Amino acid sequence: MAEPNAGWTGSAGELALVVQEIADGITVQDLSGQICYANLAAAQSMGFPSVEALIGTPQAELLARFEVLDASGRPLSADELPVRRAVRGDPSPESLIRFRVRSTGEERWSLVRPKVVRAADGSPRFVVSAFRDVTTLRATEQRLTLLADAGEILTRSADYQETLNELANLVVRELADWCVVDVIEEGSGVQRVAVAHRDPEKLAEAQEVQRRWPSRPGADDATGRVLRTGEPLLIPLITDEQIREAATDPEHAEYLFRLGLRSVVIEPLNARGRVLGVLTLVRSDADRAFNEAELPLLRELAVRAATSVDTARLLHETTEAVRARDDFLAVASHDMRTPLAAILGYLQLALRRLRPADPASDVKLNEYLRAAERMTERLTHLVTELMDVSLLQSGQPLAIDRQPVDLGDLASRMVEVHGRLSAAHTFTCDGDSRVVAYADVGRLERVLDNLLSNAIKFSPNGGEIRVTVTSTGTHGRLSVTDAGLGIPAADLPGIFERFRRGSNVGPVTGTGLGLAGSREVMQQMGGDIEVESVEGEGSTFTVVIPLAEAPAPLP
Amino acid sequence: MQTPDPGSQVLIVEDDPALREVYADALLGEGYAVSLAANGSEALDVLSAGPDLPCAVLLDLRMPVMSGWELADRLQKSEQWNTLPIVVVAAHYLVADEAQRIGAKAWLQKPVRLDRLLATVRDLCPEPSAGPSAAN
Repeated sequence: MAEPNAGWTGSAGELALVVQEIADGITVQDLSGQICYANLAAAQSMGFPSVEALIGTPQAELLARFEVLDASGRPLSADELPVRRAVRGDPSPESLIRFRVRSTGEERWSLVRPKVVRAADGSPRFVVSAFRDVTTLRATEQRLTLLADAGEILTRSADYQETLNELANLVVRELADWCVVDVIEEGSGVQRVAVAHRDPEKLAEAQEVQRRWPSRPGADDATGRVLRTGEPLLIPLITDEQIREAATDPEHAEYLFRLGLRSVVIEPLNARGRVLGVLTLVRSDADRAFNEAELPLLRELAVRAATSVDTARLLHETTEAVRARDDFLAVASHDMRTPLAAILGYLQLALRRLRPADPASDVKLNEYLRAAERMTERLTHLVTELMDVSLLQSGQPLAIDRQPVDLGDLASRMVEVHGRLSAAHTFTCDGDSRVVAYADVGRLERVLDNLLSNAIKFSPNGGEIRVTVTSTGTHGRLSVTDAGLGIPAADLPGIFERFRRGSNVGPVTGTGLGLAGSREVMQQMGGDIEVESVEGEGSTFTVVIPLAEAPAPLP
Repeated sequence: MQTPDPGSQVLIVEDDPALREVYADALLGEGYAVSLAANGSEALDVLSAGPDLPCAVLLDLRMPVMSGWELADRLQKSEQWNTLPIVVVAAHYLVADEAQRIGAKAWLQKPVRLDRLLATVRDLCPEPSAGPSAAN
């Protein structure tokens, strides 16, 4: 059997070894702050190769090596250091502190927990501090917070110029001294859409630089290269020589020196395989130069910014396309209506002239004129429908033109037209007579036309199509019943939604208002469309229309 | 042939000459007198020339020189003409809203059936004394 507990005896020597080897830093300081003891982790985290080297360094020299800051970045005076606070009797002296190694610019985060060790009489003897390096943890946390903030900013508005400016402001608070975003605008080349600087005075100078020496599209500078290749560029340290080379003239160089162009990262804004622009971050202090390890975070930021630009542009393009379509329809509708109005007018004038006289020779002429009038009205209805589809989709009201209309007459007329279109179906028309509703006749005809076409389309094996007119006293009801496929119960609730079609029918083509549009048209007339259906037996669609001039609310 | 009744005069404001002719023929055939204007500005000239005021103004909206909207606005602001009954006859897709906005008595969307046009005028104008005549 193996020796238990690795030969542990609990001797003082073993405990000293534990303290020496433990992963957290441990120091013992006397009441003046001079370090009397440190373990290996403590020495290494303060940048010393050995414990001896640390302990041999006088306190003043040690303090001079670091700049100690609190979590918000404010420098801490000697009195505010956790150890001093512990000595003064502060009950919770543990703190999260940042210290910057002056010689390398490296910044570390540390959780420091000092504890005063007292003599038997209660007087303080020395301070034991345990500290843990939380730089990595802190960086992860910061990274997540930053990305969350960036995500929130970028989804706030569809105006990407506004959101990118806010992003640049966030970047200069957290990551860089200077941040600019350039976006390729179609037609006008590279546009600087956002500029932010940690120092507001320098922001004005940065804008001045942009105004006087604008970025040249296609230029072979660093920005141009990133735009071309879509690959990020890191220049950890920019030399004065490089600044002079990049500057257009000595005055430009002078500005760039004043702005402090010391370390730069240029990230491409890539979305859907295209470079939309670049995100440039600048630090003006060589001590805080960008390094490779920071690139993944900057990459993430750039991806988010690119997605935001891309989405905003897609939204803009879509909105423009819809507007263009609506504009076209409005103009087309107007331009078609005017000649239609003249044709219809002349036909009706001609018919009026024929009316009083009734010689046999005029019978044919009368017939031709009537036919031409019907066709003109049909064309008018098509133009109206074209416009209605567009209006309904953009949520605008229709110009509803209500007149009294005898539903029985309307039904017979529509059935007569559709009866000629399908030999496979038997059309019947029954119900109450003299039901006069108050409706937009042209649109009611379109709706009924739609329902009758559907009845034919969805009863492919023929059969009876019955149109029934009834009255409830306040509303006329016009039902179209077929003996066709019917609608599955599960599909019924969604049957009036746009782009919906029963799951038991194939790709039957359909244009125009459709059921959704027909129902909306009826609702704008103060009516509605109702449906009843049993799969395999057929469907009944009922158009409900107000009878009175002031439409009564539907039950 | 009859003499149109000056008390039943309809002012047609329409930029399309064919439509002006169609409306005029239909109204003359019913015994109404008509005066014609191709835009708002011409309509103001016709009204200023007087002497009789029309019993109805058939008004298109989109017209060159002076639109129907502007003419309606001018009439509204005039003490002499602010009670003239306007009937908007336009192709505008929101014709109902537009008619309400300019305070029109009625509206018709182009293409309009002549029987509806005449029925609307009949509601607003006194019966022509000479009575309807189909063959003018």
